[in-house]
Amino acid sequence: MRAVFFLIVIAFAIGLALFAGRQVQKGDPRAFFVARGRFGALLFFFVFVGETYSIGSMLGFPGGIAAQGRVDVALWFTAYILLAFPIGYLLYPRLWRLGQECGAITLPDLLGRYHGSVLLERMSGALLLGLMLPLGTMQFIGLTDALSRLGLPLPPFLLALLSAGVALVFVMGAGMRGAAMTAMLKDGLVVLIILGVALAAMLHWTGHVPGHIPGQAITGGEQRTALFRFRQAPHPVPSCIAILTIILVQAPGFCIAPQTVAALFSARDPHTIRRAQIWMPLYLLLFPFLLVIAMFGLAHPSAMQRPDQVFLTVATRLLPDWAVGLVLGGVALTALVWLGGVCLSLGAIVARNILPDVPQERQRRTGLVVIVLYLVLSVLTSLSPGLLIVTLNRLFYVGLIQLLPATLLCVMGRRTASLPILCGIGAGILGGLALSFAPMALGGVTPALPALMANVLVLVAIMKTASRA
Amino acid sequence: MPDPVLPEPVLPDPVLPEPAPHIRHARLFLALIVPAIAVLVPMPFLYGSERAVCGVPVALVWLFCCIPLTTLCLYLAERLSGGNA
Repeated sequence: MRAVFFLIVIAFAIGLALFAGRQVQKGDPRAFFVARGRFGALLFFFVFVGETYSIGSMLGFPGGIAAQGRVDVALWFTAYILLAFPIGYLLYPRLWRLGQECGAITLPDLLGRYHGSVLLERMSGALLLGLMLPLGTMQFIGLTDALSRLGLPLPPFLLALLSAGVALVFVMGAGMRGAAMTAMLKDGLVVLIILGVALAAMLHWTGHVPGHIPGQAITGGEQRTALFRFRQAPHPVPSCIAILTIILVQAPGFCIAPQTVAALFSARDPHTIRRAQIWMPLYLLLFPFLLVIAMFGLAHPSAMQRPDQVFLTVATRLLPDWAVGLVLGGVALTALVWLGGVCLSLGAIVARNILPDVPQERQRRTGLVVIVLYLVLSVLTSLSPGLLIVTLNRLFYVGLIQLLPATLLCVMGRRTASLPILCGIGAGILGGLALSFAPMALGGVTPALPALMANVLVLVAIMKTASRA
Repeated sequence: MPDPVLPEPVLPDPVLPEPAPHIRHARLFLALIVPAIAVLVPMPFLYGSERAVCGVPVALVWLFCCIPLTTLCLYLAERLSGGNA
């Protein structure tokens, strides 16, 4: 029953994507990658929400809380996404206009064309390409965890490969339009799933939790009231500094993430973007329900096998089999919609910015080849998760935030030579890598912040020197 | 710079001209400064506090309260500028 409901969800999503594909002009890369910038407020809202809340939000948010027994993850995760919306409200309309003026559909398009530098376009494209690889890997790790609960007699590798195939169908079917249509289904399902699992957790809070791990005793306190206390950070000052600096870096960084920018250029006009940004924070009201699920897991440790999988564990233990199928379908869609958006922006960056000599009619095909390679590589790396993935995830924002100064120069109307921008980016990346791997105490400060400051200092110093000369 | 693709049509911008500077400043204050202060400033004081609401640390409770506050600020900023960029 579980697998049947899961397959119904996936089949319905594929049907939606293929239906959307009938409306896409073949051979037009702008139609394929950003839906020709024709999305109204509703479709833009869904496609943007789809790119904002990945499987990391749904599984990682409660998983991080349950694994740590603290709310640090919840604090920085909620805060940086929340503050990204006001920044986006002010930044995106200007970026959209610049994109229209330059004919840009990716961030490297915009940077290269605005500052008049092919080198900057290619270098920023290459940087984003390198940063996006671990993102796909992490989606497939979560996806494999979810699919392994279907009870199908298939190895995880095959399940992940099948998921990659479904993601490819979404993208091939209709590009950005297909991603938007499936995002609508996914978001409706996600709201129902999170509320359903949280409600089930509340109803079972003081009762018997079915399927507790054999051999693990259920304490009297757990059965009676299931009370617990979140742990305090052992070093509160550095922990608080870490939370604040992560928020300061990731909130603006999120606004220039490749998939976010691709979604931005799909909007019809700046008014559409601003209207959507106003209501987007309210989607975060699902996070308190994810917190309830994490707290249920912490209060019932006898029902937990792996704290980082608390969402799926609680859902599997408390819901009927058919509902678990819907939950797994929703989780899989969350990953697939997000992967669809990332694949589209990746394909566009490679086809337009890294291999710019590809003729327009072949950009779509080139993009699809890149997407297939990306998906296969992500599946392969997801099968050997380890410390490397965690490190790469941390380095994503160290690298991404280095493109912020160049982007802000565009927004402020300051056309700049590529040399100071590239030197700043280089200094920021090298500084960030050194701080990330060097055994030195930063007092909790995330390495991305001093790296960004180094970037800005080098950029300003070279600009001043050049203007004096 | 050589453009690898055919020139894209520049769509007409349907929005009205920029609002007056004092409106822009007020919008910046409402849309960005107020949410940023609400989220960031209380964090060092609330983080590490033993206080909790229904078991949830007060820092996280406050952050959840900032969610509708942010939407309210953005809504007011939009109303203030009359829908202009």
